[in-house]
Amino acid sequence: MKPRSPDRRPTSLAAESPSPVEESLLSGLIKSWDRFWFTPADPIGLGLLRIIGGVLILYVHLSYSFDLLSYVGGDRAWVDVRTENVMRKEAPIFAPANNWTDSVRTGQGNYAWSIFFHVTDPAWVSTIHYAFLGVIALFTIGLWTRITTVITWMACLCYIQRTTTLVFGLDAMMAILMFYMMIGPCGATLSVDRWLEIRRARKLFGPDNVPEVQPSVLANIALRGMQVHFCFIYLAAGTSKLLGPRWWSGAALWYCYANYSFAPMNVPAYNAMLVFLCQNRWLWEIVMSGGAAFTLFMEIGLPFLIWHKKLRWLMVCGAVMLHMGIGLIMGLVTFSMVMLCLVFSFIPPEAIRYFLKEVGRPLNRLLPGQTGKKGIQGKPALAMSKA
Amino acid sequence: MARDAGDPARSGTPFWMGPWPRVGVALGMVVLGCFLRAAGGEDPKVGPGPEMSLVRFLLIVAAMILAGGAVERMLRRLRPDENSRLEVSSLTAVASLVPLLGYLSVPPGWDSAQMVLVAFIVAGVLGTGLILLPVIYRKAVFAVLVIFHFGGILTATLIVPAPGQQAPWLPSHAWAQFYRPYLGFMYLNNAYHFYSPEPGPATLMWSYVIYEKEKTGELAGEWVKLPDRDASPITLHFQRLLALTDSINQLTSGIPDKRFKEIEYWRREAGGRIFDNAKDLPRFPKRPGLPEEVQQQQQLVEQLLHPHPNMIMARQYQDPQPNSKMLLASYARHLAITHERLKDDPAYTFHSVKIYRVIHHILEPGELAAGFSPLDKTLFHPYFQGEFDKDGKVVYTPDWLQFTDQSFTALREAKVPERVLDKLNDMKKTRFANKKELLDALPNDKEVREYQNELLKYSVIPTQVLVNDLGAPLTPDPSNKDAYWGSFPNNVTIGGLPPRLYATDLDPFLYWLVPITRRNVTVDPNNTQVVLAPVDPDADLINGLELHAKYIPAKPKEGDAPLEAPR
Repeated sequence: MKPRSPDRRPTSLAAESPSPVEESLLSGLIKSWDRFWFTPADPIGLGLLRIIGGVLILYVHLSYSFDLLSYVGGDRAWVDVRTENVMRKEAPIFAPANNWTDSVRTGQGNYAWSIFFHVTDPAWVSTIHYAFLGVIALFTIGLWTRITTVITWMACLCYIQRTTTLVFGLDAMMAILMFYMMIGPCGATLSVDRWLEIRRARKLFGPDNVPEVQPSVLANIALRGMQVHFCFIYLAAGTSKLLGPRWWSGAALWYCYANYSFAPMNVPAYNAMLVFLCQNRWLWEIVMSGGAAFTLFMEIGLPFLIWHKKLRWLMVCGAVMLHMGIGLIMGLVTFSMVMLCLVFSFIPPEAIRYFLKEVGRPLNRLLPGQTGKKGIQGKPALAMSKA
Repeated sequence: MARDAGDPARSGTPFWMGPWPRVGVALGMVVLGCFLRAAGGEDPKVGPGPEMSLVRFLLIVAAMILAGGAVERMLRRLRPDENSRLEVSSLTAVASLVPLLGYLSVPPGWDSAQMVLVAFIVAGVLGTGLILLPVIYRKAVFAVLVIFHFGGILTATLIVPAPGQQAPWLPSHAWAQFYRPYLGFMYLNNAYHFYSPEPGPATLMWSYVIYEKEKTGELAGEWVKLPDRDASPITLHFQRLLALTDSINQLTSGIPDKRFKEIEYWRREAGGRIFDNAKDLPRFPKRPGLPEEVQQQQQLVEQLLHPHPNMIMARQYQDPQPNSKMLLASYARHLAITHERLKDDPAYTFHSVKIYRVIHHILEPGELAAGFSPLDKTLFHPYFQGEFDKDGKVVYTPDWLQFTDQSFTALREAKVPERVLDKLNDMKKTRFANKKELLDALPNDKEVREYQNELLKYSVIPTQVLVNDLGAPLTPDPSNKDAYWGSFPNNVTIGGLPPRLYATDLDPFLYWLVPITRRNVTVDPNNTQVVLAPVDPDADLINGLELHAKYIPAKPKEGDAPLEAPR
């Protein structure tokens, strides 16, 4: 079979537009869609997200080690396996009826899966837990990344689906992050895989032959997916808040700031600050109403404004501030960090390369025998410019 | 200069390390797994779980990794020409046989592992098709997948009903009948309604674990309060326990007014009249292990047993949803395992645990400015969730049973004049094992006897609560699939009457607020705002929670009617 030349084939959906009249609107839309999803992108952003996300995911799963059997142990767990089995297999699913009566039952059970539904022996649970930790560590450093990414995603979901009553927003965000990581080549840069690739190429083709990192359509799809998903998250969070009277009165943030279980009210300075605010109502109103307005503006405005190039940095900085506030005041540090990972998907690759180059320079000087520009290019594992 | 690292010819990888041999080895492994399962004879004791030997488990895992690696390596070689697409898609198709054969070698008990393998088969088949397609069609299929994926995400965000409203019809159907498998499998079900419609107080779980000394029967107890910031090694552990305690805060939307009146009646009866009128009842028996302060506070019993003075009654009763009840039973079993013996004296072993769902209310700004502490005890609102044994079954306290029989209130619904019912108030027993027992117990009064058939009709409803293996109350109709979930379909009747049997029927405190209140509060004269300030925070506290948790009911006396044990 004679291969056809790739350049003769239509690769854009817009190429098949039916008529000149429709071309202007439909073709424009299709071209935009094509450009949005299928423009090859530099995978450096995914590489950075893999490292940051990997460290966070490793930390989250290490934290299970403190009380492993209470989370995923068979009968020792808070939710024992028999309860979990009943809930995942028999929980009734209802939907509104097709007439005007009450809900009707449309099914039962859910599609949860986890190795910890089946492995309950404490020794085996520990073995699998530490094996998962090892794989997550490999994913973080970027070794055999395509495989370890999928296993890391599976590991995350094994814990999440088994400990449904112990999970919260953090775990949902982690699952989202890993889902898109699986799609993109997150090990193509800043990874051991990349280092091995360079080493292999140098061995085969000579020391000056360093393979370049190819822009990838899958990298673009993964990053675009994260960005769109992030906008869905923000829009849902923002619009649902509009149902709450306290968000309209401006007092909602008080119930976050003064919630003893989340806020650092056991820290005397923080408590004194709250008392001071409460004793000066005008100040209290400015802080609370301002905070509520900022939250609503970010959550409802970001999904629309972040696509505008000039406003992107403003929106990214606003989201960073919002999540730093959530981390510091409400104590949800890990959750905020994972959210920030999704925010970082909006940062252009040029900015990431510039940042890594600037960070790499002083680091490189610290390495014995490496100085300045030569050093950066001479160490492929650290050389961000060639990452 | 770009190099093709995936091309074995150019990267120096020997043929036997290439994708095809890898898939071949992977297939061999799963075939061996199938053979082992069919042949039997494996030692199940060395496996990671039931019906799964170690060898088979390792074979399946290794085969999946090998096949995945081979596909990944082959995908790196993918070029737009047909030959390349054909080669790569062929390998992907053959690699899809690995999860298929893996499925056959996994025992049926490992249903969720089978689900994952099916997902890999679907991904393999879909991938094969996608690779075969020319780029233009591949993009079109991708567009469909993107719309499907984000349509699901949108659906998940829309199915949460707005306050006081039903869930939107279209998204609910789209979720229940179309998206549920995908979103559930990928854990993309979150609606992202964080702090919506507005932030609220945290839910805590306080448990009073009761221990019994094996030989003497002496009782002792200790509090286990979750979550505890000081006891958690890291913040994430604390936050996970907060999520755990929040899971028991799934409440039913409300109960019919008529039903609530019944429950309220029992609650008030238990708190007031019964104890007032039956002074010969043993209360707070002298027992070792019962704190002295509890003995001294007998005069507060009435206040404990009365509802909270400053809250409307409807808000003081909060019935958890069936899944929360099941979780409570599971948490009780966990506590029974982790608190098998009293730390200070191992001779005491686990007896039962009283669990409270505690809402930690948030101080209003004016209260904080006035000097109230965010840890003021009255900010904690504990709702009694039941006393559980080590198997997670609700322990019904016998002396409550004596006086809270549902047939007593059932009588009020009968067509019996009030004056006749008044005559029944003198009856010492209101719970009867059979008709004869009731007839014998009825006062020897002409008018009462006239209505005895009517009374009989309403008083012989089988008084028992059905509890499933997990401690959740069941409907009395075991053939109904909803039975596990404690709901009562309208068409179910017992003896021609609608079932009215809830766990609450046997313990009038179940799901009720156990108030922590103050007796005396005054307006602080130094504060211009109207804020109630305690005179003496500790002295004035009526800690109903402590009293209720440490209250140990008397065992039934000899001659009492035998109690029907919950099934």
